Amino acid sequence: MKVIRSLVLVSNDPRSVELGAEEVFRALHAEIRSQGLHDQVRIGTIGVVGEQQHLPLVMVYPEAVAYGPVTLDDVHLIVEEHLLKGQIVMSLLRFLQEPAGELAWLRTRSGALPVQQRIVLERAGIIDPYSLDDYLLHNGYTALGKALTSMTPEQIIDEVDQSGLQGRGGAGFPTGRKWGFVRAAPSHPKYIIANADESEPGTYKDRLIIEGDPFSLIEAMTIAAYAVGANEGFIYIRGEYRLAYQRLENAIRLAEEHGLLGDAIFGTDFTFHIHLHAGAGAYICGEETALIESLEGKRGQPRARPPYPPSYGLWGKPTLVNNVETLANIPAIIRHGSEWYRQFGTPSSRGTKVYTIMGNVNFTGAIEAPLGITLREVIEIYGKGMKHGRRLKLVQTGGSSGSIVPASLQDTPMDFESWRKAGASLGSGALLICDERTCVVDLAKVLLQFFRFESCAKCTPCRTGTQRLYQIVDAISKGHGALADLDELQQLGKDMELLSNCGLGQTASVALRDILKHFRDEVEEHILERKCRAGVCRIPALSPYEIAAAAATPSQAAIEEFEGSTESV
Amino acid sequence: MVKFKLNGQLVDVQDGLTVLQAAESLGISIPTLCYHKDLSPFGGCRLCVVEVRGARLPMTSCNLPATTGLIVQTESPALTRYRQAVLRMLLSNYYDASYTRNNGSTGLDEHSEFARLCREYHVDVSQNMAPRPLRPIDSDPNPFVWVDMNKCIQCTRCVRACAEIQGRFVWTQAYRGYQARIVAGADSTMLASRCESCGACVAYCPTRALDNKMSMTAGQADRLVRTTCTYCSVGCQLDLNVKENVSGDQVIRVTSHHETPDTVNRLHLCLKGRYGYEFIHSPTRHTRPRVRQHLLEGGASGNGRSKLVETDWDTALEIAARGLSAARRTHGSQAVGVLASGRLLNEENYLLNKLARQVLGTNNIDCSAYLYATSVTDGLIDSLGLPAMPTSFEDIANNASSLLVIGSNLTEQHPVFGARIRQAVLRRKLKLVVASPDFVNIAEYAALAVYHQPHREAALVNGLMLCLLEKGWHDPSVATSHPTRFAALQKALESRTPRWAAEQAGVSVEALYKSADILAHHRPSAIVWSVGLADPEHGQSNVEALASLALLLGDLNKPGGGVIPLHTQANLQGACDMGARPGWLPGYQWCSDQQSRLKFEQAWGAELPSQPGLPASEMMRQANAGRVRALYILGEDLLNSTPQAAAVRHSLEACDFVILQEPAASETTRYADVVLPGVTFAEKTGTYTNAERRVQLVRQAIQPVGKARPDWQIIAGLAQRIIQFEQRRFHTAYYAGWDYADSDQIMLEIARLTPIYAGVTHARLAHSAGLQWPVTSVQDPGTQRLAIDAFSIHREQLA
Amino acid sequence: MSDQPSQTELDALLEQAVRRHGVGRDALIPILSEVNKSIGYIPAEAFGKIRRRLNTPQEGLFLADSHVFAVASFYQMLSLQPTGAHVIRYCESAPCHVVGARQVLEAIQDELGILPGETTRDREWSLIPTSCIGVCGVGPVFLIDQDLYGNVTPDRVHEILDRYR
Repeated sequence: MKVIRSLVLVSNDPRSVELGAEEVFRALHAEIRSQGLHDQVRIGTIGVVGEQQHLPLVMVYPEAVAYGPVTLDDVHLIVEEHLLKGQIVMSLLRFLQEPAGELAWLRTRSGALPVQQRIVLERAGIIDPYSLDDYLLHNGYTALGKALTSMTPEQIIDEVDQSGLQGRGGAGFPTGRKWGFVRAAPSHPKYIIANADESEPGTYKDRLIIEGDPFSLIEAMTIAAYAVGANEGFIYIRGEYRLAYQRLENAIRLAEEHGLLGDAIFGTDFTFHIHLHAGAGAYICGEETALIESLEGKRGQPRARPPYPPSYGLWGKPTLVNNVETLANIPAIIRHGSEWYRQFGTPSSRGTKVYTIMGNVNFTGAIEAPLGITLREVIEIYGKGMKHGRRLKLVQTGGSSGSIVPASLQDTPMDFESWRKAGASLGSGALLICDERTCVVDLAKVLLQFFRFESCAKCTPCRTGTQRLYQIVDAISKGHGALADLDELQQLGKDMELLSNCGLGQTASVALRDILKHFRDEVEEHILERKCRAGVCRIPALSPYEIAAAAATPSQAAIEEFEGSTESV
Repeated sequence: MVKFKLNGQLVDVQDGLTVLQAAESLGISIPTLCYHKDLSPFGGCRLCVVEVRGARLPMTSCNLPATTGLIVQTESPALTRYRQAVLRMLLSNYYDASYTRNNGSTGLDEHSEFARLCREYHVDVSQNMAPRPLRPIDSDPNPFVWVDMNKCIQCTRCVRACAEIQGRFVWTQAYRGYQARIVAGADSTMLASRCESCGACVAYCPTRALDNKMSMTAGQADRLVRTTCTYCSVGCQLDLNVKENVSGDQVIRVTSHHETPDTVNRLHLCLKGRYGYEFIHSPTRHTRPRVRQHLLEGGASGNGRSKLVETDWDTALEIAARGLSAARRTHGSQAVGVLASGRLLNEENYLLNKLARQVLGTNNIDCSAYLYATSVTDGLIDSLGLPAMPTSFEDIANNASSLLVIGSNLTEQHPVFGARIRQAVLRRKLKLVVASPDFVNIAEYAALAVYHQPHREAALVNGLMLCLLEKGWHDPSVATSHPTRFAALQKALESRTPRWAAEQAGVSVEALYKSADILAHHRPSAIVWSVGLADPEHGQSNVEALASLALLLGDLNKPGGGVIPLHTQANLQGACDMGARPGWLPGYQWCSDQQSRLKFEQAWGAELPSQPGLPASEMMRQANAGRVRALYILGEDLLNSTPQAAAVRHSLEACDFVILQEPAASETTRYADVVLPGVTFAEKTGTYTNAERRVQLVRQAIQPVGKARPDWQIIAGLAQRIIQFEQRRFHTAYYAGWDYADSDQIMLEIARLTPIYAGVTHARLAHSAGLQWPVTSVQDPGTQRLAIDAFSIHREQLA
Repeated sequence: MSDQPSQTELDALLEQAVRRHGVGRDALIPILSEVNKSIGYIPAEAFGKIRRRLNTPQEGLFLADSHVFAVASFYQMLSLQPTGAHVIRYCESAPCHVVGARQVLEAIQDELGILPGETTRDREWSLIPTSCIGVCGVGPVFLIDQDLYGNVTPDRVHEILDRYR
């Protein structure tokens, strides 16, 4: 049996090609062959991975080492030193010092077999995302073949339901049940939408899935469409994701050419077409009803629910909206069965989760790990520890709308259930790890700036609340706060949670709430002592008299700030 | 039925309601701002939140479907707190600029819906509102709409009102987040963004961010008087806002109201109806009667007419009566004529008909908008036996699948109905074929716009019929239901082809086929026309051709089908109904029909002329020829409403004696020997009948300006003086006299003598959205749809 | 890139977009995106052209300027103003912020002498804040036109901007 020992990938984005990537590829190919390594080393291509100055880039797995820029002269060295002798060529390693994080997703939990850890990213980085053949060689389309030829739609839905798969977009709704709703909805036609409008700051798992394995999304959508009875599907992809768009465009074309998409798929009478729709820059369009409005050519303002999309979605028809990561689990579940899938994760949260790690750790990037690992594991093992040995202060989980978790909670297992109990949310799986140099007031301000800018402006609590919260926090960060402001922040935040139309307004104040819960003393310092312990906020000094006055006067300072910060007439 | 628990009570409501609607239907009110019952729910303001058992969060009731099993609480201490929180959030971006509203005194606006809600929930506006304005005050140059976006709470009612009612899409919410705001068009001015200044956005705005510019300093009204608009034949209901003044009460603004359901317009009005009220207090109003000086002095006219001088009512009426009487006695009853008007009340037109026939002994009475009156009634009566539109606006707007609009600038002449048609196009894909010589606004929404040569409507319509016949698209039953008419039609069109008709009309033959295709294959189809068809030569034949086309299409008796003649004057339909036509006694009772005549002779105690009198156009010709010597003209600037002004001027000059009764000076005034100051619709009470046969109340809002008098009083006074002067004695009869205490009394007389108005009384009208005739008894709710065969008048048979 | 396009250029662009995306209401955002991509912003005259091209009132679709503007002003990637020859979009979201985005932004501001949302007087540079662009693993990041720069430090700003001069 042939054992592949190493995998070598050469970047093939247009810029790399321009800089001679193809020549490097051919030279590597020839060199590997001439060294007699072609039975043990596989060579392929990879898309845009880093900055221009490192292109063309050559990556070698399983060590996940990146070399760049690589010239023809370097080829011999890489093959001889690394592939033959197993020594990393340090002189070509400049790349590691910079955007290394991007590639860390290939790092795996120590002690476990990689294949057990990776479901949605099983092929990403291993196959050529432009090659359907490559996808087929790696078990591509076996799930769809099985689904179409040996399963009824009901059986598929049942299998998904049994697997325990929950939506990975943030809410964690059971996927099988959602599918069942759409299938049962009486009206026709039905649509399915892959939600690839990944806009939660710090989240880019869907981009990695699409860029690394575009066919898997298409295969998954086709299975979903067959299961729920849809013949038309849409991928709503972030406008900024140009490379992912191109790869999907290519994948759709190839799938259509090979009878895997379009009319008479697999020779059956099942028809399914996919349309690609690029977003135009709006965070709110990640909300499914806003996404549907946007797809219909309108402002992305969430609808009233009920009715929910499974009964009243795109153009008023039953519509299945699933996150990309959710869908990417489907082929594996169909291929291996729900029993297999249930091995991963915890009893309440099955499967793996793709986390994106960023902030003040040594390694940043995406990982796929089973649900239920702890933050400490993420930081210490995947993140390679805190940068410069600084102390962990807090982690924001799930992007801007997520919770702020203090260092003291880092041993809570990360699954939907445990975190719900801890009053936090897993959200999209983004983990922003902050050390003590992060100021909580400053962080709150940045988050609120995001929300007041991204609010769709439809409902009162979100439109006016995000602005008001920002104004008050901004005032505090400049030393114009009063203690009474904190009560207003708390009350307003609670009202927004209760009264907003959609998740954006309901969660815009979550981080602020957590900050006031876990770091209230630090916020009060800003007001009472005019001090920012992290040294981020620039607060001018004040006389003791003024300090006393600030503490006593409710909100007046914030009002002044309000005046200053609005556009003048 | 839906059964759910509301505030602890198990309730039953009909299907398809939201929780808010269900609560309202049970008399439970829930506070709202962005919600309005005329508009699609938005769910933005969050004020209407309710508690729903099992729901994680409070839910907005305006867009929550009421379903069986729900358990809903609409009031609780928590909900009150939420609503206060929402109001405070809204106020954080609200600034009341305290602009001068009460004649110079400043203060917060306490009269908007928003301010009322804040009071109700004990949220102090001045304490919670933004500290300073964020936007310019009075930021749009629209002459009618005042814009102050500091008071905007982005409820988007204006956006939806403009889109879902007027159909112009002026307003929108633009940008997002904290930068979001309501803008006109591409952040431009209203007028540059398709605004027609209908004021719907103002009517629906809950904060007065949008307000009536003309009334900004007028203050609050002392009373509102509900009445019927005087502009066109749609018959919108509106409220005249009256301010009481020592120098005389004033109409300070016009608003629309909601309390009477099912009015033709609800809160909608057009530019004219909402903002065109200044004529009421126009400086050109006649405030006292005026007569030619030589008439005062009792002398002959000498050379030409002497100066008009003011006089008192007794003198003026005396001179008027004497003048009419003299002409009648010297030259015979046929030498006098009465020109009634679609601007006068039903009661007034009825009195004019009585004056002409009973007192003056002539059938020379007609509406002075004669060109058009003829086309509408005579054309339709001759062809279909119909004196009015057989259907209703509501029916056409809701049920027609295709509509031919011809000779009508629909959205300008009948804007409120035009807007309904636009909505029907947008919401239910009503197919419009618009035929006109030039672009008209409604053509924007047309499936096909056909531009024909001027005055070639009949050729176009013939062409459509030719296409229907050639393709076999016509209703096959027409051959059996109307055999004579169908045979005549076939014969008339025998040797013609669509190509020939297209050439005659100046349109392409393809357009002709396509129009016929649209109308034939989107059924039911209906036809709308208006004054564009009313030219003196072809008016009647145009209408007859359209009637034939309607017959061929075959939907005359079906919901959503029919012919829709639209008058330009508010009460032209009523004037015709009231016998202000040379051949028709009130209620389309033919004057040569003995039985009909006898009824009136017995009621009025006088013998009545049995031959039809002169139509208005003929009166003018006969005046020129010296055979008509005296005219009594009412309510109309004759010279300004006819394309043949020169001929009319000549006719007026040729008359011995002209009485003009009008509210304000006009072109025609200089040809009058006696000017009797009538009043506007704001100064009298009575009824109008709109184009869909709906009789509605006109209510007096203010005292007549100066010494002017309600027109019915003047007519009655004049009649009494002629009777006195001529020492006439009528037979004893119930309705022989002219003593009317009020116009209600006149309506009682009308109802007794006019079967189609038999059940109409002012009291009934006061508590309804009007009554569509025939109303055969006081129990009869009126008739939305005239069955063509059951209700038809055939003049030949009657004669 | 932001030069005023001629009427015929605009018409051709629109036709091309319509061929790709159709004329339904759902084509509005893709068409606006294409115009924005080609011209760098959406010129005012494009509103009228687009709505006239898409309007089919008899099919229930009626677009006014307000509809087009409402959409164009909602989405961050669509620009209503002409931009500089090069557009810097810097991420102002939290992941980049905690690893030093503010210092990078200040360096860009110093380098160009403009504030966020502004364009340099020579119309060479526009500086536009944006929410997360999904490459947080290498923050702080910014985009210059279509090129992405990650792991940027204040001292690298000058050198990176120089590549476009």
